[in-house]
Amino acid sequence: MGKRIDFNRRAAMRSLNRREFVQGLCGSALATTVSSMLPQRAWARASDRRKVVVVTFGGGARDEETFSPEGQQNIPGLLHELIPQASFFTQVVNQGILGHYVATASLATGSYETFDNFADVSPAHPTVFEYFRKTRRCPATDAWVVAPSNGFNRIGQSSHAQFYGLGATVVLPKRLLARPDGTPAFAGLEHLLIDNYESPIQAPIALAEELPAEQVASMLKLSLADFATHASTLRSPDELSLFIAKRIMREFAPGLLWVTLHDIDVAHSGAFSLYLDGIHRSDTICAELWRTIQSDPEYKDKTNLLILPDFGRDSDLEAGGNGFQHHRTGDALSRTTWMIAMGPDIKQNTIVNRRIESIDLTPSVAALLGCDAPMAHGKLIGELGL
Amino acid sequence: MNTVFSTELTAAQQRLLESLPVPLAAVMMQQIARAGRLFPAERRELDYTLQSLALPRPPKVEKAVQMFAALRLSPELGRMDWRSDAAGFVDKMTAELWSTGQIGTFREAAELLVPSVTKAEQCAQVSRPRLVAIVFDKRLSVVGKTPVLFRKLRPYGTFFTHVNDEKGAATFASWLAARTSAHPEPYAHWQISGDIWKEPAAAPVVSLSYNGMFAEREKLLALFNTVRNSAASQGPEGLQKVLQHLSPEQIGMSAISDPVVRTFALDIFTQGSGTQLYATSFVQWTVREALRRAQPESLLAWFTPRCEATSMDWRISHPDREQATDGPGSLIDAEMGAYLSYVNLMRLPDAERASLLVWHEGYGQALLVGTDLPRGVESNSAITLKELLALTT
Repeated sequence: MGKRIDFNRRAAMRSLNRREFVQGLCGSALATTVSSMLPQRAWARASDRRKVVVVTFGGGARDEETFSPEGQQNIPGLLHELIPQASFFTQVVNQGILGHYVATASLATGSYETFDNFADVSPAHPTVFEYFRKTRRCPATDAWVVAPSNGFNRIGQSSHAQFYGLGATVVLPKRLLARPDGTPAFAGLEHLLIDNYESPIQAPIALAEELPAEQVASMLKLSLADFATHASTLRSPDELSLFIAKRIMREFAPGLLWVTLHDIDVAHSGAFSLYLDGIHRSDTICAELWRTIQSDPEYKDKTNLLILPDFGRDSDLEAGGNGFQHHRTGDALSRTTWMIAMGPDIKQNTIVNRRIESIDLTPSVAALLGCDAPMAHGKLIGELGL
Repeated sequence: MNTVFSTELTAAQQRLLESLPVPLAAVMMQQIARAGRLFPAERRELDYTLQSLALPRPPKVEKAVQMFAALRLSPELGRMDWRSDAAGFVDKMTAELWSTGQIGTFREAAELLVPSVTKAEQCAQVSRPRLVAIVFDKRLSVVGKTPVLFRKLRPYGTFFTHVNDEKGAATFASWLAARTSAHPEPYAHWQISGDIWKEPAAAPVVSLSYNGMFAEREKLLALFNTVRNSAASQGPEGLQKVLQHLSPEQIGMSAISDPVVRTFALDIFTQGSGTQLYATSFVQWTVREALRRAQPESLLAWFTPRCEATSMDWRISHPDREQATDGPGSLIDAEMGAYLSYVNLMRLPDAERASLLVWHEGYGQALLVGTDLPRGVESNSAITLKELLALTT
């Protein structure tokens, strides 16, 4: 019990710090603090037309490098462009395994998945994509995942028998630039093929289940050569993901798009400056995605955008860790993060201090889309108007 | 019970381990199995922990034991023999504790054991106050105006704006030599560089450098590649197993004569992340591990530029290709590296007497944290490096 109280105290302290940082930035007189549930909305009609875009950061960024006074220079887009239009949740706790694939899968299922992070397996619980497609009876082209790593190739479809064949279309953008064995298919693009930052080698992957690169390219109306030419102008795998995400939006305008960014996780290499570069890029990409949403008639005024890291990173003061480099200690800082939610159904310029869990995402996204997520263990986030 | 231990244990150790809950016994067994490759400070910690685990136990230690006993392991793990492969057992156990949500209890129990160890260490003789000196190579620089350095460290020490020394390397070499000759204990004095040490340090200084182990790093990367391409590759966990059984000699580390340091150097590359790719990561992690494990009296660390952003794959496929360096990025890395070094120094016994000096040889800015020095203060007076070092003794 004492442990729980201590964790809650430390998590709440992080939340308080974030709140103060953000209030200082937005102007506390303008920011509204939501401390109680908002009245329910009449969702039945609106949600049929609603779209949701989810952006997760694989490899959380700490307050020190984001919302603290010295970190704010790294996230101008989030702070100045997005948060004033958003509900900002200061305390999002992940109680699960702190590995990126398993944690992102947990976010997508609304249940803490317990599989080996490096295993080539599907989530055990149904994903939000499956709930969405089953309820709305929509095709696979209406639910997409753009994921950074080969290890995420099964994230769109659970192993749950009742949802067979109802998963999302998963694109691993770097696969479009690689040969089947993972080696570069085009010269000079190695920097875009970095697969993961946690281990020198990746688990063997059953790539037979993957959509062939040519098929994905054809769906997106891309020639692989043109794509490679464009890719040569990009700096990182996440910029590649942004390009693909925008292409998917343009060609399919899916109701549910999930983008997992991963550049920040270069922190595992121990190079602090590269980690900061990753934060800068994630910030820019989030702002760019919001602008894309606002400029596309298919999305404008009917799309809710939710942005959250999958979890945090270790504290400098945790002896078992090495500061920003990893997320291995399970301390409060590595488990506690934040969420930005914005769109036509979400209050603007609002700070929510109540503790929520990262698995609350899926039932809430499902509800925003007019669906239920009956097997998710997370709870509806009332402050999203649900 | 008929037990088989892969390591020779004394009868008392064997009785002790058998009396402990399996998760704790396996962790202690793993430590004992490594005893021959531990630094004296680590040996003292291990001995003290084992003593404190014998009955009757101090209340905190007893509480830790009870918490370890409360951990529930799967039948599959229960069938594994932690005695013959403690490292493999602990690896699997850790994964299971994460997946069953028990890692927090494990972590808390382990933390309860730590204060006892620290207390023991405080009783140990620390002959001279520790001093960590960190140099930022002049190539760690930005284009344009002079940057303001050491922001994270300033609240803890005095910031000096004019510290010039044309022969900084020689000054530090003399300083280290003087401290070593005053107290020539093994593993008490270290020098760590991201480049290569031009002058070999006199014994017993432990001397490690990133570029000095270029060939060994390349062999390790080649090994990663072999494991990756092997038909039986089991991904990261398979690699972990291979690395657990890797000897320093297999990657050509036989040039390091001391077996404890040789194993330490291997650990830096096999347990550290990014140490194989970036000079800045190598220096930061090696400082951390040297402080944590050897608890030295003197440590000189030299941050030099790392290469531009790269990947393991690229390094493996282009072993001979020289990469451009990233001076501005390396400066940011080194700033964080110096701060983390301070945090790690403050974790050691006798931290209240310890000092830390950081100096940028190009910009002439320095920061000194020491017992008698004011904190959060700036000095604009010119001072030499030698004078600054003298303030620490």
